[in-house]
Amino acid sequence: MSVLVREGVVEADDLVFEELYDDLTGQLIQVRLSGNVTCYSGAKVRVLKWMETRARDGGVEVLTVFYQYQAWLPRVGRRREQPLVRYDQAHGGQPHRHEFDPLGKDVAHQNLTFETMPRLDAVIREAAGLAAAFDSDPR
Amino acid sequence: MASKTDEPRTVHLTVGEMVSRLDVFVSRMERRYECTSEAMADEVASGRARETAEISRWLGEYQALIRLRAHGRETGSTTSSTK
Repeated sequence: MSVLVREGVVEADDLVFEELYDDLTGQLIQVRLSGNVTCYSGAKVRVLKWMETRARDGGVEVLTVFYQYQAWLPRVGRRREQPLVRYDQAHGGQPHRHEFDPLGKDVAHQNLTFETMPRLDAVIREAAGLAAAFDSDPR
Repeated sequence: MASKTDEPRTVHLTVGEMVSRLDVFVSRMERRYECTSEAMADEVASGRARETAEISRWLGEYQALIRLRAHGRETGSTTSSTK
């Protein structure tokens, strides 16, 4: 995140990693990442990511099992709230990408896999770009 | 928006604490939509309900709750005693 801040993409964030430990054994079981990212372009990205852990080669391997990256432009003045893009996986086991038209209607789904799912930093850059393009559109 | 340049902060909590928190959230959503999480998952999977951001978040947290409860049943930790 600090790279995105230095590059002038991200203004602020309140992301939190919550590490969940077994009540009895004290073993790390899952990790939850959640919070919001605010971009200088005005875009906001709400993050929810669940990761499972498993022992591997003497260490701990972390695997993401659920993603939701929701990007939107908040309502400002006469401009109403505008969804920009959303990645999630509520229906089906693999993630997918939702696209929105200028009226905020969910118009297209692109199926992804865990391998082709973009990283959070790429989604933040995408959201920042979409917001900038949306704001420069004279519509 | 507390942080400007720091990396995300990390907090530690027990599985039981998270199960309690997810239980509250999932119950609130089930009351709001007047259906169970399983029913909503079926509606979304069949295309009868639109997958909104809120519903997607609900079902994501619900899936996590199911996994954490299963972990509690396997290990006998306190998560198994929750609803």
